[in-house]
Amino acid sequence: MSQGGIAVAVDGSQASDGALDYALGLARTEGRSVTGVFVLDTGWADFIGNDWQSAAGARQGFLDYIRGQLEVQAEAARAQFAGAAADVPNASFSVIPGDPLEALVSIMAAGEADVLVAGAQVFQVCGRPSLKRLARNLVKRVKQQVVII
Amino acid sequence: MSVAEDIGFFGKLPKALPGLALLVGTMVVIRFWIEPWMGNAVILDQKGWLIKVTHLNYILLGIIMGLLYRNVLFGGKLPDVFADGFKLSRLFIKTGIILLGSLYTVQAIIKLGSMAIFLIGGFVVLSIVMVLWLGKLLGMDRSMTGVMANACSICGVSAAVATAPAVEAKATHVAYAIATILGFGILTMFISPFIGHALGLNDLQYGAWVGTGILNSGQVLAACLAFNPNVAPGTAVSVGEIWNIMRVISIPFAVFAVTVWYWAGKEQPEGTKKSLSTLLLEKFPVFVLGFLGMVLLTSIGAFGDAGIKGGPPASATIKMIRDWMQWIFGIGLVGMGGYIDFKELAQAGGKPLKVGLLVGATKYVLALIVVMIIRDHLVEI
Amino acid sequence: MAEDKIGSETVASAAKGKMTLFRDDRQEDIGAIVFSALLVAIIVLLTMK
Repeated sequence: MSQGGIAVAVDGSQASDGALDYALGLARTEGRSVTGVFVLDTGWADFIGNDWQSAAGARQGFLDYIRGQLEVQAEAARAQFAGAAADVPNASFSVIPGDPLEALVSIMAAGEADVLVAGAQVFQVCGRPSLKRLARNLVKRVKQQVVII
Repeated sequence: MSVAEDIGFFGKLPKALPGLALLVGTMVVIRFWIEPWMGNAVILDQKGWLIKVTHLNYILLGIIMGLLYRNVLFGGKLPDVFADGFKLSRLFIKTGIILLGSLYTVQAIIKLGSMAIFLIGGFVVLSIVMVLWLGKLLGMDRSMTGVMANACSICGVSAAVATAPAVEAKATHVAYAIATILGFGILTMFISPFIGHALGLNDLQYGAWVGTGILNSGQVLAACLAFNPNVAPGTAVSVGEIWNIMRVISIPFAVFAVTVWYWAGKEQPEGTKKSLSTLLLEKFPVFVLGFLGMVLLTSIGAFGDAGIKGGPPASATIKMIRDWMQWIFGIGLVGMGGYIDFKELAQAGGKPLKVGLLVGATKYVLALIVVMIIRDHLVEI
Repeated sequence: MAEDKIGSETVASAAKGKMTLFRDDRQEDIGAIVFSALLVAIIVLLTMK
């Protein structure tokens, strides 16, 4: 087995506690690098794309409001990761804009990590309904090892 | 702010051309080849069986193509090359609505509008009471109840997005509310024309029914055009759209009312309070003013005779405006179909789904019953 | 990716979701009014006797 980096999806909620424990445990015992990833979901504009009659303050106001919630969640994820990974030497954290599934798939496709660890319900805390299938789709789409906790 | 946001509409237009070409091309193929073929094809020994039985017309075919593009051909996501063009679909629909003003005179608007207020008003009260009761029964949280109350009573997704920030709704809760409302709207958009034809409803009765009964007003337009694709005074779309517009302009008032209800007895944080006039300024859809301007111009005879029932036939200008409108709505609705994402709708669930389905189904059926009862008292235009 | 430490800059610079090619929805509404006026003007010209 290769000793490449570990990517772990972190969303600042209890849904990523287990995945974080697992990924950091692996990093400690095998001396691997670990990167926490929060995906700032940019799919909301399309999600409400069917609504054509809202006014300026309503639609963009709503998207900005959701964006605010996602940013708060990103900060919570950062704090969660920083707290748990304080003793891991090669630990870093990234916030990536995009669709959570596509963003995680493309990180792995680019070879930025060898293992992806994610909670079964990660990103559901502030996500769109389709994220309920995120874990299942990651297993299908990612070529490398995927660990769902 | 990125550079892309600074270049303005005309700067972004070239990037939108591939998507726009796809929307226009789809409608051209549907109207020049697919629809005529469906009308002539002999199936089960019957000429035009496809149209007679399925009631598919260019509007529904356009929406179906849009959703096939997204969900089948493009694998769930609009590719970047087409994404900007699809964003133009809203511009087309709004333009269509403004031009729709050429179907009415001021008197007709007042007649239809007062009938709409009467029906919509009754159903708004019914839906709000039902949502509040079900919300309590199911233990739904207060912000979610507020969002669902407006979404189920006024105009679906538009009302949900307008209300959510005012009642501190959580992103994930609103997402489930939207998926429910949209799913129900799309289902009713496809089944309503069948029911309307099966029950032998005329355009006025059908327009009044779907205008009142369809949860998400975004789909009222499509459901009307799917029933009768003609755009003229007295057709389903000319009735349903008045209902729609009445619903849309009531959004700021509904947001104000729900905000007051939500914050009653609570300390609202400084700076988040909004007066009714601020909400009106922020949330009023300005394209409605364009529609009203068009009604006014039509009423004073700026484009010649409007072809209102009982009057002289429509002028060549008015006829051409109506022909073009069909294309504009058709192209816009292909784009709207492209925003229907089955991945999201399939995962709708939880309390919003229960409340949405119960209230939505009650409203849909009850509106039909009411329209059938008062069918002889509906005002003709 | 590994060097990309999170900070408010990273969050703020992430692409924002936009639904329209116009600056905002109100501009889109005004765009629709202008577009309709243009179409009506063309139609009036075309049907002028």
